[in-house]
Parts: sequence; structure tokens; C-alpha cells
Amino acid sequence: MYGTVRHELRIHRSADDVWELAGDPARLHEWFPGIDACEVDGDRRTVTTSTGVPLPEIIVARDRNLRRFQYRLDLPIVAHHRGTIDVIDLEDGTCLVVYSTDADPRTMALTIGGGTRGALVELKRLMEEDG
Amino acid sequence: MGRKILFVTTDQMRYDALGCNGGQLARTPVVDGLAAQGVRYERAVPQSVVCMPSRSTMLTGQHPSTHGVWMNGVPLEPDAPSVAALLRDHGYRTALIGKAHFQPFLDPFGRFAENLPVTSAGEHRGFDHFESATHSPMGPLTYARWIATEHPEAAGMFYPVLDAALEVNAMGGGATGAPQVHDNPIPRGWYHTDWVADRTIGWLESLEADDDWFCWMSFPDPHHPWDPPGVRAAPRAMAGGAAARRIPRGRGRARRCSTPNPATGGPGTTAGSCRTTRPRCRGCPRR
Repeated sequence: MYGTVRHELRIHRSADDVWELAGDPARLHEWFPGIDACEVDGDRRTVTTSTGVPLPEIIVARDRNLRRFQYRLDLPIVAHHRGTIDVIDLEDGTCLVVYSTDADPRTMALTIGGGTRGALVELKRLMEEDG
Repeated sequence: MGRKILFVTTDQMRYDALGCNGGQLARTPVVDGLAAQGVRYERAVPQSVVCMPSRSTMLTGQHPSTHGVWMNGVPLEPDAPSVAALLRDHGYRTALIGKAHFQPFLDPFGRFAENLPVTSAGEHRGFDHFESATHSPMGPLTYARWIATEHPEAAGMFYPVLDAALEVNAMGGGATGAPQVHDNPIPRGWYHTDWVADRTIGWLESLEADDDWFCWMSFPDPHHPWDPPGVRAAPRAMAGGAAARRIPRGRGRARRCSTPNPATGGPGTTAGSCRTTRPRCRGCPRR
């Protein structure tokens, strides 16, 4: 059974504005604390963590209509991983951002999930300060 | 001449594993010698049996209910009190070399300062000099980086602390097949015990004779996994045999006093009127 962790946060900024940042695979390091760099090449992305570890990923989906971005880690120790960022329009000028992590081994979901919560907090700070 | 404080810790070791405390299996002549010349604090007890809470107490002087680190995985607040900061503010040179573990290790995004490369070469919680190590040569700590840089071929020699499911590994090995036991072919000088000692000696040699200093030399062993370098595994297997007999009894090894123990009818190993000279048997009050 997969481990699954989900965090969500309401951001007082339009869904389009938030999607512009959160949906751009090359800008993850701008709002995910602990990721120092992103390099995108087609459907491949490599993020480098603050501890200096490069994590190769495969971009699975980037849907502008749904405002959904999905990716998975491409590491031998990870049997399954799916990271999903959804930006949901609340139709009042704000949006709900949902960051889900599903993983096998299950512990990986917890480990990554500890970072995604902080990422949402930072995304909210950036978007609301900027707005 | 300044004041010198060398704080030496081992990890997950029962107090009676030491010869000076009655241990019969391991050979600990150096510590026994120190004990024979010094003071054994028999009423000193850890405030938690778990690593992070206990270490946080050593650093802060607080109970776990105060510093808040009630279990491994719960990080010590960055602004928690620190004996190192107190001493540094009074002019001491300070260093922590070895296992810190005030914050969680499993930290791929570097959420905790202890795991960041920049911290590993600089100030941390009042320690001017900080070089970190743990049981594994993996990850961002100073020892792991040293292995990766200087002896990359050794990284795979250690016991894998986590299994494929990233849970604590139960794989057995060694002569007994017991979990977390592993024959480690690494040369002794590359193993973290010698590394911590060597790095500590190096730091001490960098000091001036009249410096006041406080150094926490924090060995990760004998905490599991039990994967010591081969040169140490062999004598350990001989404990009680020829290797043990090389240590003359009564020199740096605790002796039981002959005072009968009313609870057992045998020689006293609990509080009694000990008649032995140093080192005294465990439990006997200091005279």
C-alpha cells in the first residue's frame, strides 16, 4: 500500500496568478524551501536539494485547463512516486492549492510531505506579499 | 593555563559495559584508568533513553518536558539554551565533533541547519567548530562527505541502516546472524570512531596552550548497527579469552568486593561496605 500525504492552503490571489508560478516546473526552487535549483529538459527535471542531493524526476502531466502539475521521482530506491500540485479556483479571487504525495516505500511520502507543507506556506507568502 | 573541558560521549551504551562499572565482556582499559584516577558519578542518569531527547538534555541542561524534544524526530528549537554558547560567551573555544542529533537525520530538503553543508564546517548552537558524524556514511554530514571525497570505495562497506522500504533494517550478519550485525571490511582508520578521535585531536592541536576550551567528542558507537572495522571485530569475539587476559585484573578493571550481598547471599554487587581499593565495585558508596 502506498504512503500518501496531502497538504492544502488557501491563497488570496487568483488561480491564474498562482498557477503561473506553481505550474512552472523550472521555478520550483523559488517557492520550495530546501530545493536550491531546477533544471528542465523536455519531460525530465532535476532538482537539487539544499543538502546537495540531485533528484531526477519525470514530468507526468502539466494541464493548464485543470491547473494540475504532476511529476515522479526517477530513483531506483523509489518503487512509485507521484507528486501532484492542483490549483483550484474558488471563484472569489482566491484559490486552493493542494500538494499531494503518493509513494512506495511509504516512508518516502512522509519524508517528502514534510517539505511540501513548507512549500505551500512559502508559496502563499510570496503570492500574497506580491499581490 | 586555561580551563579545559573534554566531554566524551558514547551512544547507546549501558553504564555497566565499562570495566570500571563492573563490565566483564568488553575491554575498556583507558576509560577504566580515567575512572581510577577520577570520580564516578553513580547517581547521574540520562533524562531519556532515546537519543535526541537525551542529547538535548546534555546540551540545554533541561528536562525533556522543558526543551520539548520528547522523541526522536522532534527537533530541538534553534534558540534552545546551549552550554556551548554559554561557555563561548565567556571566552571559551568550543567544538562538537561527532554525533550531534539535536535535529532529525532523515532530511533530504535540509530543513534543519544541522544537516546543511555550510553548518558542517562552522558554528552550530554555540560550537564554533562543528564536524558531524553518525552511524552511516550516507547523507550530508561531515563524515559522510569525508568518506565520499577521500574513500568513496568505503561507502558501501557499512551496514545499510535502512532497508528497501526505508524502514530500520533487520538484516542479520556476522558470526551470529543477529539483526544489524555486519562484518565491515573498512580499515580502522576510516571508521567513524577513529575519525572522531582524529578530528578531535586535530582541533585540540590547533589551540593555544592558554586557551579555555570546551570540546564535545561524540562517538556514534556502540549504537547499532554493529559493524565495526575488522581489526576490532576479532578481539571482541575473543572477549573472555586470550585478548581479555592481556588486561591484568585489578588494573583498570572493576572488582567485586567480598562483602556479602544480603539479597543474593553472594559477593556484594550492590551497596555495601566496600573494602576494595580503587576502582571500587559498583554500588558501594564512595568513601
